[in-house]
Amino acid sequence: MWIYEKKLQYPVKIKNPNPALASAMISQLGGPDGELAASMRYLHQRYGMPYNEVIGILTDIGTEELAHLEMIAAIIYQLTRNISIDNIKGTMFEPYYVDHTTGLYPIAASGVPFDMKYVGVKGDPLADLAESQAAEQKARVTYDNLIRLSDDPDVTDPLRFLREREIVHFQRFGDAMRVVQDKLDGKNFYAFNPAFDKKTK
Amino acid sequence: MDKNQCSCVSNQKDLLCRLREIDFVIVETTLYLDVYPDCLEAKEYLAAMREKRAKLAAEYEARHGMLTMYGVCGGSSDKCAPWPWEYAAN
Repeated sequence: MWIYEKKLQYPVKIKNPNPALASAMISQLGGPDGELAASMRYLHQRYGMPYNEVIGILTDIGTEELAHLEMIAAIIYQLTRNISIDNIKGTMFEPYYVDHTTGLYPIAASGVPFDMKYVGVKGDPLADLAESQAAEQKARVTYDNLIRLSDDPDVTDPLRFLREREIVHFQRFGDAMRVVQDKLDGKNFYAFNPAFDKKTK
Repeated sequence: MDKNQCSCVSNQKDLLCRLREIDFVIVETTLYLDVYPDCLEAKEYLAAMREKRAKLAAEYEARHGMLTMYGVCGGSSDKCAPWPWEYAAN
Protein backbone atom coordinates (compact mmCIF):
# COMPACT_ATOMS: atom_id res chain seq x y z
CA MET A 1 0.00 0.00 0.00
CA TRP A 2 0.95 3.62 -0.21
CA ILE A 3 0.65 6.50 2.22
CA TYR A 4 0.19 10.09 1.09
CA GLU A 5 2.28 12.76 2.77
CA LYS A 6 0.97 16.28 2.70
CA LYS A 7 4.13 17.99 1.49
CA LEU A 8 6.13 18.44 -1.70
CA GLN A 9 9.49 16.70 -1.94
CA TYR A 10 11.07 20.01 -2.96
CA PRO A 11 9.40 23.45 -2.82
CA VAL A 12 7.62 24.97 -5.83
CA LYS A 13 6.94 28.69 -5.53
CA ILE A 14 6.24 30.48 -8.79
CA LYS A 15 5.40 34.20 -8.55
CA ASN A 16 4.39 34.89 -12.15
CA PRO A 17 1.78 32.90 -14.08
CA ASN A 18 2.81 31.81 -17.56
CA PRO A 19 0.33 29.48 -19.30
CA ALA A 20 2.55 29.07 -22.38
CA LEU A 21 5.35 27.68 -20.20
CA ALA A 22 2.80 25.40 -18.47
CA SER A 23 2.05 23.87 -21.89
CA ALA A 24 5.67 22.78 -22.16
CA MET A 25 5.96 21.57 -18.53
CA ILE A 26 2.93 19.32 -18.88
CA SER A 27 5.01 16.79 -20.84
CA GLN A 28 6.61 15.73 -17.57
CA LEU A 29 3.12 15.01 -16.23
CA GLY A 30 1.72 12.88 -19.08
CA GLY A 31 4.37 12.77 -21.80
CA PRO A 32 6.42 9.78 -23.06
CA ASP A 33 9.27 10.35 -20.58
CA GLY A 34 7.21 12.02 -17.87
CA GLU A 35 6.90 11.22 -14.19
CA LEU A 36 3.65 9.25 -14.50
CA ALA A 37 5.21 6.96 -17.13
CA ALA A 38 8.30 6.59 -14.91
CA SER A 39 6.29 5.60 -11.86
CA MET A 40 4.09 3.15 -13.79
CA ARG A 41 7.13 1.59 -15.44
CA TYR A 42 9.06 0.86 -12.22
CA LEU A 43 6.10 -0.09 -10.06
CA HIS A 44 5.04 -2.69 -12.63
CA GLN A 45 8.46 -3.97 -13.60
CA ARG A 46 9.20 -4.90 -9.99
CA TYR A 47 6.92 -7.98 -9.94
CA GLY A 48 9.14 -9.81 -12.40
CA MET A 49 12.33 -9.21 -10.46
CA PRO A 50 13.83 -12.25 -8.73
CA TYR A 51 16.22 -10.36 -6.41
CA ASN A 52 15.36 -8.26 -3.36
CA GLU A 53 17.78 -5.45 -4.18
CA VAL A 54 16.08 -4.90 -7.51
CA ILE A 55 12.51 -5.13 -6.21
CA GLY A 56 13.47 -2.64 -3.50
CA ILE A 57 15.04 -0.07 -5.81
CA LEU A 58 12.13 -0.24 -8.30
CA THR A 59 9.61 0.19 -5.47
CA ASP A 60 11.43 3.13 -3.89
CA ILE A 61 12.21 4.95 -7.13
CA GLY A 62 8.70 4.25 -8.46
CA THR A 63 7.34 5.83 -5.30
CA GLU A 64 9.66 8.85 -5.54
CA GLU A 65 8.41 9.40 -9.10
CA LEU A 66 4.89 9.94 -7.70
CA ALA A 67 6.35 12.73 -5.56
CA HIS A 68 7.87 14.20 -8.73
CA LEU A 69 4.48 13.92 -10.47
CA GLU A 70 3.06 16.08 -7.70
CA MET A 71 5.88 18.64 -8.07
CA ILE A 72 5.22 18.92 -11.83
CA ALA A 73 1.50 19.29 -11.12
CA ALA A 74 2.35 22.07 -8.63
CA ILE A 75 4.46 23.85 -11.29
CA ILE A 76 1.59 23.73 -13.81
CA TYR A 77 -0.99 24.64 -11.16
CA GLN A 78 0.98 27.72 -10.13
CA LEU A 79 1.83 28.76 -13.71
CA THR A 80 -1.90 28.83 -14.51
CA ARG A 81 -3.03 30.35 -11.21
CA ASN A 82 -5.19 33.51 -11.32
CA ILE A 83 -4.95 33.92 -15.08
CA SER A 84 -7.46 35.73 -17.28
CA ILE A 85 -8.68 34.78 -20.75
CA ASP A 86 -6.33 37.41 -22.19
CA ASN A 87 -3.35 35.51 -20.72
CA ILE A 88 -4.54 32.44 -22.67
CA LYS A 89 -5.60 33.77 -26.08
CA GLY A 90 -3.04 33.16 -28.79
CA THR A 91 -0.71 31.08 -26.56
CA MET A 92 0.23 27.39 -26.73
CA PHE A 93 -2.11 26.92 -23.77
CA GLU A 94 -5.27 27.81 -25.73
CA PRO A 95 -6.18 24.33 -27.08
CA TYR A 96 -5.60 22.75 -23.64
CA TYR A 97 -7.81 25.39 -22.04
CA VAL A 98 -10.66 24.50 -24.41
CA ASP A 99 -10.63 20.87 -23.24
CA HIS A 100 -9.49 21.08 -19.60
CA THR A 101 -9.79 24.74 -18.46
CA THR A 102 -6.97 24.96 -15.86
CA GLY A 103 -7.55 21.43 -14.56
CA LEU A 104 -4.58 19.05 -14.35
CA TYR A 105 -4.76 16.39 -17.08
CA PRO A 106 -1.77 14.14 -17.86
CA ILE A 107 -0.90 14.89 -21.46
CA ALA A 108 2.26 15.38 -23.54
CA ALA A 109 3.40 18.83 -24.71
CA SER A 110 2.37 17.67 -28.19
CA GLY A 111 -1.22 17.22 -26.95
CA VAL A 112 -1.31 13.40 -26.84
CA PRO A 113 -2.94 12.12 -23.62
CA PHE A 114 -0.94 9.82 -21.33
CA ASP A 115 -0.55 6.33 -22.74
CA MET A 116 0.84 3.13 -21.21
CA LYS A 117 2.47 2.52 -24.62
CA TYR A 118 5.28 4.72 -23.27
CA VAL A 119 6.08 2.04 -20.70
CA GLY A 120 7.92 -1.21 -21.28
CA VAL A 121 7.55 -4.27 -19.07
CA LYS A 122 9.22 -7.30 -20.63
CA GLY A 123 9.40 -9.66 -17.66
CA ASP A 124 13.18 -10.05 -17.92
CA PRO A 125 15.47 -8.25 -15.44
CA LEU A 126 18.17 -7.32 -17.99
CA ALA A 127 15.67 -6.03 -20.55
CA ASP A 128 13.59 -4.17 -17.97
CA LEU A 129 16.52 -2.56 -16.15
CA ALA A 130 18.03 -1.46 -19.47
CA GLU A 131 14.66 0.13 -20.30
CA SER A 132 14.58 1.86 -16.91
CA GLN A 133 18.11 3.22 -17.30
CA ALA A 134 17.22 4.57 -20.75
CA ALA A 135 14.02 6.09 -19.32
CA GLU A 136 16.03 8.04 -16.73
CA GLN A 137 18.31 9.43 -19.43
CA LYS A 138 15.35 10.36 -21.64
CA ALA A 139 13.70 12.15 -18.72
CA ARG A 140 17.01 13.94 -18.02
CA VAL A 141 17.07 15.17 -21.64
CA THR A 142 13.47 16.38 -21.34
CA TYR A 143 14.48 18.38 -18.24
CA ASP A 144 17.47 19.78 -20.16
CA ASN A 145 15.03 20.90 -22.88
CA LEU A 146 12.58 22.39 -20.37
CA ILE A 147 15.38 24.24 -18.54
CA ARG A 148 16.45 25.75 -21.88
CA LEU A 149 12.85 26.84 -22.54
CA SER A 150 12.28 28.29 -19.06
CA ASP A 151 12.96 31.99 -18.66
CA ASP A 152 11.71 32.00 -15.05
CA PRO A 153 14.15 31.14 -12.23
CA ASP A 154 11.18 30.10 -10.03
CA VAL A 155 10.47 27.32 -12.56
CA THR A 156 14.08 26.47 -13.37
CA ASP A 157 14.98 25.83 -9.71
CA PRO A 158 12.65 22.81 -9.13
CA LEU A 159 13.47 21.59 -12.67
CA ARG A 160 17.15 21.43 -11.73
CA PHE A 161 16.29 19.37 -8.66
CA LEU A 162 14.21 16.97 -10.77
CA ARG A 163 16.94 16.71 -13.41
CA GLU A 164 19.46 15.78 -10.73
CA ARG A 165 17.16 13.00 -9.47
CA GLU A 166 17.11 11.43 -12.96
CA ILE A 167 20.89 11.19 -12.81
CA VAL A 168 20.87 9.59 -9.33
CA HIS A 169 18.18 7.11 -10.39
CA PHE A 170 20.20 6.20 -13.49
CA GLN A 171 23.16 5.40 -11.22
CA ARG A 172 21.03 3.26 -8.88
CA PHE A 173 19.52 1.29 -11.79
CA GLY A 174 23.07 0.75 -13.02
CA ASP A 175 23.92 -0.71 -9.60
CA ALA A 176 20.82 -2.93 -9.83
CA MET A 177 21.94 -4.14 -13.25
CA ARG A 178 25.31 -5.11 -11.73
CA VAL A 179 23.51 -7.02 -8.92
CA VAL A 180 21.54 -8.99 -11.54
CA GLN A 181 24.62 -9.74 -13.65
CA ASP A 182 26.60 -10.85 -10.59
CA LYS A 183 23.92 -13.47 -9.91
CA LEU A 184 23.75 -14.77 -13.49
CA ASP A 185 26.20 -16.90 -15.48
CA GLY A 186 29.07 -14.53 -16.33
CA LYS A 187 29.81 -16.42 -19.54
CA ASN A 188 26.31 -15.89 -20.89
CA PHE A 189 23.88 -13.58 -19.07
CA TYR A 190 21.25 -14.34 -21.66
CA ALA A 191 21.13 -18.12 -21.28
CA PHE A 192 18.56 -17.92 -18.53
CA ASN A 193 15.79 -15.49 -17.56
CA PRO A 194 15.62 -15.61 -13.74
CA ALA A 195 12.20 -13.91 -13.82
CA PHE A 196 10.75 -16.92 -15.66
CA ASP A 197 13.14 -19.85 -15.25
CA LYS A 198 13.76 -19.47 -11.52
CA LYS A 199 10.99 -20.99 -9.45
CA THR A 200 9.53 -18.73 -6.77
CA LYS A 201 8.48 -19.68 -3.28
CA MET B 1 20.61 24.27 1.24
CA ASP B 2 20.75 27.72 2.78
CA LYS B 3 21.06 27.27 6.54
CA ASN B 4 19.48 30.64 7.37
CA GLN B 5 16.37 29.58 5.52
CA CYS B 6 15.78 26.77 7.97
CA SER B 7 17.11 28.05 11.29
CA CYS B 8 13.72 28.83 12.87
CA VAL B 9 11.38 26.09 14.03
CA SER B 10 8.42 28.20 15.08
CA ASN B 11 7.19 28.82 11.58
CA GLN B 12 5.35 26.13 9.57
CA LYS B 13 7.38 26.67 6.42
CA ASP B 14 10.69 26.52 8.22
CA LEU B 15 9.74 23.33 10.00
CA LEU B 16 8.51 21.90 6.69
CA CYS B 17 11.81 22.88 5.10
CA ARG B 18 13.77 20.97 7.76
CA LEU B 19 11.49 17.98 7.36
CA ARG B 20 12.03 18.04 3.58
CA GLU B 21 15.78 18.18 4.02
CA ILE B 22 15.87 15.19 6.32
CA ASP B 23 13.41 13.28 4.13
CA PHE B 24 15.68 13.91 1.18
CA VAL B 25 18.59 12.43 3.13
CA ILE B 26 16.41 9.41 4.01
CA VAL B 27 15.33 8.86 0.38
CA GLU B 28 18.90 9.07 -0.89
CA THR B 29 20.24 6.72 1.77
CA THR B 30 17.39 4.26 1.24
CA LEU B 31 18.02 4.08 -2.51
CA TYR B 32 21.72 3.51 -1.81
CA LEU B 33 20.98 0.75 0.70
CA ASP B 34 18.59 -0.96 -1.73
CA VAL B 35 21.54 -1.84 -3.93
CA TYR B 36 24.35 -1.86 -1.29
CA PRO B 37 22.48 -3.62 1.54
CA ASP B 38 25.65 -4.57 3.41
CA CYS B 39 26.97 -1.04 3.91
CA LEU B 40 27.10 -0.70 7.71
CA GLU B 41 27.94 3.01 7.63
CA ALA B 42 24.83 3.77 5.54
CA LYS B 43 22.66 1.58 7.81
CA GLU B 44 23.76 3.43 10.94
CA TYR B 45 23.37 6.78 9.25
CA LEU B 46 19.84 5.90 8.10
CA ALA B 47 18.82 4.75 11.59
CA ALA B 48 20.06 8.03 13.10
CA MET B 49 18.27 10.10 10.46
CA ARG B 50 15.02 8.17 10.94
CA GLU B 51 15.13 8.89 14.66
CA LYS B 52 15.68 12.59 13.99
CA ARG B 53 12.91 12.54 11.41
CA ALA B 54 10.38 10.98 13.78
CA LYS B 55 10.93 13.79 16.32
CA LEU B 56 10.67 16.48 13.67
CA ALA B 57 7.52 14.97 12.12
CA ALA B 58 5.86 14.71 15.54
CA GLU B 59 6.64 18.37 16.21
CA TYR B 60 5.28 19.40 12.80
CA GLU B 61 2.10 17.35 13.14
CA ALA B 62 1.39 18.69 16.64
CA ARG B 63 1.56 22.26 15.36
CA HIS B 64 0.31 22.13 11.78
CA GLY B 65 -1.87 19.05 11.34
CA MET B 66 -1.21 15.51 10.19
CA LEU B 67 1.02 14.74 7.23
CA THR B 68 -0.37 11.36 6.25
CA MET B 69 -3.61 9.49 5.64
CA TYR B 70 -3.80 8.83 9.36
CA GLY B 71 -5.44 12.22 9.58
CA VAL B 72 -4.66 14.55 6.64
CA CYS B 73 -6.98 17.37 7.62
CA GLY B 74 -10.36 17.68 5.99
CA GLY B 75 -10.61 21.41 6.54
CA SER B 76 -12.44 21.76 9.84
CA SER B 77 -9.35 21.82 12.04
CA ASP B 78 -7.56 25.04 12.93
CA LYS B 79 -4.32 23.07 12.66
CA CYS B 80 -4.43 22.78 8.90
CA ALA B 81 -1.45 23.58 6.67
CA PRO B 82 -2.16 24.59 3.06
CA TRP B 83 -2.15 21.89 0.36
CA PRO B 84 1.39 21.25 -0.87
CA TRP B 85 0.92 22.48 -4.48
CA GLU B 86 -0.36 25.90 -3.42
CA TYR B 87 1.87 28.96 -3.82
CA ALA B 88 1.34 29.87 -0.17
CA ALA B 89 2.53 26.44 1.00
CA ASN B 90 6.06 26.87 -0.31
